Amino acid sequence: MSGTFGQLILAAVIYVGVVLVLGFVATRRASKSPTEYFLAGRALGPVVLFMALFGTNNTSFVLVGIPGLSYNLGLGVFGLNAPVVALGIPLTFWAIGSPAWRWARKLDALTPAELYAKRLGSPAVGFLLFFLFTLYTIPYMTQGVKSAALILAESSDGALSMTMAAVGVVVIALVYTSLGGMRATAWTNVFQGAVFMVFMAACFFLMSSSLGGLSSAMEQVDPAKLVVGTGGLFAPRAWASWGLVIALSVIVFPHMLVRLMSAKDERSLQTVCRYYPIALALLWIPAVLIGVWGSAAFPNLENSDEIFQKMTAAHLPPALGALGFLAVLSAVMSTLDAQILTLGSMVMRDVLEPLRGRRLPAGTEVWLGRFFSLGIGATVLILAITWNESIFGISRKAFEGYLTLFPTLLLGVRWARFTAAGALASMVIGNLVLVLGWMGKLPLFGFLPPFWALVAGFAAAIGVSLMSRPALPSTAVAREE
Amino acid sequence: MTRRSLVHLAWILAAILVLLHLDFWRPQRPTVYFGWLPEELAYRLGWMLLAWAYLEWFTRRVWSSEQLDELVEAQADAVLDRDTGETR
Repeated sequence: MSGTFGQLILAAVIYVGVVLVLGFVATRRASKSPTEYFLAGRALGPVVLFMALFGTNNTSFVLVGIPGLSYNLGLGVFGLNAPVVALGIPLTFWAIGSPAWRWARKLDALTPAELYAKRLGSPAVGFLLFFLFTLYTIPYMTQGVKSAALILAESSDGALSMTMAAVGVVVIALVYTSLGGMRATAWTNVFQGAVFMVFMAACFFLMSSSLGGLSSAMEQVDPAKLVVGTGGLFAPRAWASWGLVIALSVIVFPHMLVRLMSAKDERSLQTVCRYYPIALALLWIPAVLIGVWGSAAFPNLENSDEIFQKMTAAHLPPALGALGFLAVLSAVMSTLDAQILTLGSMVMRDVLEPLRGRRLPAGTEVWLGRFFSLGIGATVLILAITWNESIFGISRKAFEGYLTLFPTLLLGVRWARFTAAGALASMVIGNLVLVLGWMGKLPLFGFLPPFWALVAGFAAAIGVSLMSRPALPSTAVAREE
Repeated sequence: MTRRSLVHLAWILAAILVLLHLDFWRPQRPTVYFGWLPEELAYRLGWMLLAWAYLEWFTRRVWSSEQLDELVEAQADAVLDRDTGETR
């Protein structure tokens, strides 16, 4: 990014000021009850809900990781991800999000793991869900902090080290999340989402203009980068497998599901689903084109994740450098805050309280949630500094892991005959198949390991449920049938 | 059109969209329309337009609050009864 270090600092101060003010205002309403703190009183209307979900869903994976991947693989990256996500995410909001929202209200559940533990009458389901949610969310948080730190450190021309940048990102997110809980993170997401959407739109027009117009920009690209490649993720079965991963895993992010549980009403959910494809297209087109155009402008980059920073520095006016810095910061923080809040609340509701056997006082619950958020933030910070893998690589592991929970989340809110034994078997077997697939110990027949993990997870869920005692009385099962 | 027919139609249309996404039959050409729109991008954007239209229709006509209310209400009551040891 081309802003001077002074401009970057000024932009960061303004940004932090806005999110802290929003956090402070939200605090006045947040400390009344756990439902208010963790779920914004289940009262998020369509606009805030949309921005909260969209901001949470889209992180540096899209702003930094996707340009990096498109730099290497070309325009096929758009088709591989964006269309199927645009259809899959809204449909999973309907298939899982909408019934989960109802179940959460009826059972007074504040976290996804709590919801499924109560629905299936099994604390073990809650423990295992908590463990797996955490297992796959911490790496996802790590890639966000790591990529933001990378961009911020490079933008500062060495004035800010990676470690200092990572500390800054985590501390700011922790402060305003701890202040205001879900309402604070939802409100700040409106601001953060607007920042990165405006920036990406500006990137599209200003970069193409700087490259001599859209036609000229396209002419400079190697024709091989304008078509879908061959092999790897572009091989037909891998393409289909990845489509399942990217379309079905988003609803499994605990920080997404908990936001759906915060919806005010069903109309808000439906409105979100209508606008999601348009917003995704507006975000993904510039993200992919930055990488594709960058492959012509900066050939032979050693680390393709740097292409976002290099293209914005080379083709945007200097004054927009600070906005680019804020765009990445916003994209990362709008996800990070939700993840911190959700994992903090899950430790409380899904581990400590079931182990104690009784509910903690409301005030204690909120404060302990804040304390555990701090611990999670510290863990992510350490991993972001020490873990050396590409942004896409870390994210991919997290997405593939999340997919193993899809059968449990779907059947748990849609199938009356589903049982705790079925859920436990599905999660254990799904993860076992995934890990064996990753290790190359299973024949995959061209599909990716998560495809087989999903198949095995569904088979175990259905088979074991039918063989075990129903979690609900036969009358409820019969009514569904 | 009955509710059941609507749901069936929704499944069929979704399946068609998925098949159109798995477009391995489509030849890969680096053709650029109007000088700036690569064929690959044009195809995907066209698909996304169809998906958006589908979701508009789906959320207004197929997504039934009443049906979900009924499904969850009955089961949630059973869960609450189970947890409190009551029977209705």
